[in-house]
Amino acid sequence: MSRVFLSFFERIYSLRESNFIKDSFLKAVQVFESYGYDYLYLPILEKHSEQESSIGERSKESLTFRDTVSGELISLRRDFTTLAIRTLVSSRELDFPKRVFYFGRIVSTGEEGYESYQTGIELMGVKNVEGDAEVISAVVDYLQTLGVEDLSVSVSHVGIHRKVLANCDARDREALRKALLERNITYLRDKFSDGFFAELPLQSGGKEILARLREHGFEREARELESLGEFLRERGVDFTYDLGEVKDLPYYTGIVFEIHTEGLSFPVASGGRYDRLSELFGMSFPGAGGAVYIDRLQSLLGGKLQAKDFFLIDTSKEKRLGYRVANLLREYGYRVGRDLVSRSLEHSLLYAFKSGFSKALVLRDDDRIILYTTPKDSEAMSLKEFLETIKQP
Amino acid sequence: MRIALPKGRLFKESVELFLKRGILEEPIEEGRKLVIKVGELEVMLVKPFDVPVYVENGAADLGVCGYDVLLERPSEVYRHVDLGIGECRVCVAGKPEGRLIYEESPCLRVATKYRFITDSFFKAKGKRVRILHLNGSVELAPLIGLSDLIVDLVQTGRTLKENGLVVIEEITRSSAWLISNKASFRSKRAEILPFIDKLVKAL
Repeated sequence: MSRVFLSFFERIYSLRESNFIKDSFLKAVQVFESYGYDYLYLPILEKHSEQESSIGERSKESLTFRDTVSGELISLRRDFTTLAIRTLVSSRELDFPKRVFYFGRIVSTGEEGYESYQTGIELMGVKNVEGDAEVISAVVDYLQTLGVEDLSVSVSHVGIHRKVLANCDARDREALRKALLERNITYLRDKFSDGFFAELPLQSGGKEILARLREHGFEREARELESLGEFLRERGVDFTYDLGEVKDLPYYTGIVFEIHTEGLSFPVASGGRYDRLSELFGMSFPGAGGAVYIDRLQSLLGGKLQAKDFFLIDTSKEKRLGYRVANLLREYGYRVGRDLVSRSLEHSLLYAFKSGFSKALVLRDDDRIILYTTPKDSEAMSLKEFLETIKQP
Repeated sequence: MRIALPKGRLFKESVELFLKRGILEEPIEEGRKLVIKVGELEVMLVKPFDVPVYVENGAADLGVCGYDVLLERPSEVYRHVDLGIGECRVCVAGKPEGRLIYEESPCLRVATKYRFITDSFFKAKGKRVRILHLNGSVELAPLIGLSDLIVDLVQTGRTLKENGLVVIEEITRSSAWLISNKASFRSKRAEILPFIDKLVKAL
């Protein structure tokens, strides 16, 4: 028997994991379409230069190669947002507001196994805070529909950290950025005498935190966060203002969010406003979006195979009865599989229940069938009687 | 709330600090028990190098971890507060004649348990090294000719001195930090923030 060795870049999905991805897609369709979003299929290849301009440092983790025909550097998809804008600009589908959702793989050398799955939404052409609230609410709805519990939704504004970084000595900027990302109080207390900035990573809570933000000159940020809070509360989304939340993707321009759940150290979803990203393609329209990291959820929620109805084991001489009955049951709307392998009845039954069939049907020449509900529990009846009783699935 | 504390010297120093800051009311001893319940706090005793693994993966909400460990094992955790305990240095050391080898040799053999720190340090210097990964008694390596140099933690310098070794260059200073799991920081904010507050206010 040959053995398969996994390479460091491979991400193999088992049948259960694959079915989790399928279910996530079906639920994404259900939830995002209920918010009026259209599905957008996005390319897997993009110009490396555009990727670099949109996601900055993170493009170093992309898989890039030189096209032997044009000599151009091409990257595999690392982020969906830029591609969504590019696609809509090039197909001239820009009647605003434009609501799209996507689903697919991204490739990053920074991930364990280079491929991972994401779904997400983009709301373009909307500048107001209701748009941000819509994106966050839809993502929260989606996570809850998938069955993710104990969501911690943190909202913040990139304006806060950008201003703090802009006002510091250029030589200290990188160290300060790192300290903000690590919520390093020791470093910040050393740098700032004002307690608000020194303890910025710990500034979190409800409305009261916005007053402190205003006191320190962040009027626009406080106003937008306050308005967002009103929308989210009305929608029943439980959230926390977390001024220590730092998003290091360069394209964000306003409100940002991150969603965590117990048991996972990485966020399960995140996103924010990107009002200047369209300028990459010579346009000028605002936008906001959010992505959900399906692979991370898979490790939390697991996956299961699609439930199936009947597994038909044909013991008749000619072996045509099973074929005919299977087709008939499919016409009735059942999920039906056939046992096309010669083996003992006992092995066929074990296979059937292990593979997700809820019943196994043994067909015989004498027009009698045996219906198994477990490998050991069964009842016998005539084929005619059986077909009468199961006509309506 | 669960906190992972490193076994050994840092455990004792952490407990003393927590007692001083009013986080613990009674002293706890390092024994055979790996999980000790103190009121609402569950203390887990783990190997120093494993603290970030427990915290990163959510088995512990908080941890006390040496900066040397965080450098060696980069982890997706928050690094909140320098606790000012477990102070030491990560150094390049060797026999006194090792200084010349350090300056002139085109390729150095370095014994260490800090593979990542050693690799990054010498790469930044543009020096080629062959790293010999050892799990303990690193000081022995240059004495018996297994390596030219070592990279190791130096606290008082006594062990080096007793083995006729000297510090050749300091790579970084290290002390213990309070770290937290990124999800716990959000979901257990109400417990974690006062914990940090008690430590920060007193420092």
